[in-house]
Amino acid sequence: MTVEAVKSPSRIGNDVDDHHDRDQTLTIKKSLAEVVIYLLLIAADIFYLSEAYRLHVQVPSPHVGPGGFPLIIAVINLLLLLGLLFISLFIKPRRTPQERVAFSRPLSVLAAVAILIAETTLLKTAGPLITIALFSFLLMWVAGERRLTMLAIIPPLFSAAIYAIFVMALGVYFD
Amino acid sequence: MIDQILVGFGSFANPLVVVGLLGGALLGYLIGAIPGLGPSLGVALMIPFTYGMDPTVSIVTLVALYVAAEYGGAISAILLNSPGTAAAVATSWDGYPLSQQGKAGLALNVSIISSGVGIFVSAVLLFFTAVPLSEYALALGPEAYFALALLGLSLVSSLSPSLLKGLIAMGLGLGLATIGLDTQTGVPRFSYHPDFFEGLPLVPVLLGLFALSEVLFMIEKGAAGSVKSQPMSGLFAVPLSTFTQLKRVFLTSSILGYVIGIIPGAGASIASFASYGVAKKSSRHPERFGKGSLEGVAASETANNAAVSGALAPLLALGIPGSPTTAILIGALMIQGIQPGPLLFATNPEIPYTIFASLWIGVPVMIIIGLAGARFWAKVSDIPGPIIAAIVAGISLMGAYATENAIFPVFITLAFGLIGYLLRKVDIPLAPVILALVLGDMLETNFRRAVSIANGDMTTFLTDPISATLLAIMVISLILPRLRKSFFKKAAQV
Repeated sequence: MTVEAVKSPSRIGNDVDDHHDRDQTLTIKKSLAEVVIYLLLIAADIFYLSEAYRLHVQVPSPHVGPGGFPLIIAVINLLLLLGLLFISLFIKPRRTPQERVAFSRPLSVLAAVAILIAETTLLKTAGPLITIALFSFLLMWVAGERRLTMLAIIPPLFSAAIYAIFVMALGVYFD
Repeated sequence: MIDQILVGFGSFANPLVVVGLLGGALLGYLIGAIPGLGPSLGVALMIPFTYGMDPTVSIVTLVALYVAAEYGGAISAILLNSPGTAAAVATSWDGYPLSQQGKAGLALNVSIISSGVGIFVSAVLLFFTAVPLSEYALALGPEAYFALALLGLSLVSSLSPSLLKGLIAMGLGLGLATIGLDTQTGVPRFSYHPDFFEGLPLVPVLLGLFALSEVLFMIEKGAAGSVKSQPMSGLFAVPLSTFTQLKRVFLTSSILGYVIGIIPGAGASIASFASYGVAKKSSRHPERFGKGSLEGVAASETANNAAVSGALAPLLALGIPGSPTTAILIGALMIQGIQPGPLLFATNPEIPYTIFASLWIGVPVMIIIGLAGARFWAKVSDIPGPIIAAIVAGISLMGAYATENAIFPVFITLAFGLIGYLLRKVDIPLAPVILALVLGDMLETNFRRAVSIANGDMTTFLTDPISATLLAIMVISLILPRLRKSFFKKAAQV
């Protein structure tokens, strides 16, 4: 696993902070990233398979019952995933050069995920007007926007537009 | 049939349908012009705004957006060498060199007119093929329907650079489609909370996979990446003779684009590449291609827009989406209580015939909007990424909330946003996930029905001639490209 400094190719004017020059890119071997994802998917598939089997036993059917089709899907998925895992573990590492997956600005992406989770959690209680404005501001900031005029104008305008369309025009309610 | 098409045109007597067409076209241009946002994301983001609309208004708005987003993709391709959609990549090969030669206006004009021709001709083809196809589909049994849905899914999955990854995406979607109450027995499956009894809500999943995952990729890019566009001149000074010289390209690319569009998974980008290749081979001046050939721009743009009508054919006639965008359109129709498929022409004839009419009426509307707003669309492609990210995220979360006036779908969107981001990182395609999620119920229902009718005999899929033929096509389409690839690889090594 390596961490490299990002050299951004261009900027939008001089108002943009050089914040993301200091941000970094996390690169890992693609085969390793694939193994992690495949193992997660295999775990999910085994759980799905056991639940499908339980359903197949509990609700018997003369032909294909409610558990039958999921059982077929789960077995095929498991075979495919094991095939993919085998390729990533034993075939891809022999290839040169090794492909890598880049996670650019990983801290910013993690911050954005945290912002989206907070926005989702607060949407119902705080209402869309405040939540969308506040979290759009934060998301723009995390995405690298540093122009104060943009940060001050866009989020409240966008939030008001969203409120007008969804709440006032479409009748979406928050109680 | 004439009566029905008059009903379609008659829908435009409703001013709201006209507003839907104009609004969809404007938004489509806007979304298509912004690199990174494509028709799929645009239609997914628009669905929440259509909840309260009349079904006809809703579908006209979404189809107009879909078509215009394909049009709009060419603008940034020509002016910035940054295609707004994958289907506009081939357009940039000649469009951008034309811009560099000071002929950006000419290139834009030809691309917009070509797009219009592509849509018009392909809509005629759609009209004459979708109706007979739907009548034929009524006679298909469950075996054939199962095989047809499986063929569609496999073709989409096989387009992935890795066949296994494409198939696992399909398997993931099919697994997700089984969540909820079993439609035949009412038994809850994989539903650990009553919110899941009706299955995974399609729109929040779409918004998560397509929109929110894209937001995370935008965050990765940051504020960098603004490029100065080329100056535009000569937009309205294109002589008619330019277009008459391109008539052969218009016709062949329209037909080719439509036919490729019908094939599930092939879509607008393959149509544009194939059409570009054919135009180059049959051109008197193939040496000009890649250096600023108007034939190249016309071939790519005519075909990628003709493919839109092509993708609508299986959607309307069979209820099988041929592309991610048409899969999203199926979701939009289902939300309105309309089931696409062969019965659509009998139960809701106003929907397909209004779509035909909207494609024809939409051509002049979109040409005018495209030409008159060309300078504005060029500016749109310069909107900074952070602003787009905030807007897309806000609409996605609010759109998900609006599906049920509840916070549960918003969490679904969030979860699928993260899943989509991780899957894309390891090159697992998202289109088969969505297509399988949409087609999963149809696939399972017909599979179980066929096996039940055959008294448990699974060979029924091989003894039914239509089903056997479709399954054979599926196997060939999955294996042949790989065999050819490995053959050429070995031949190159020798």
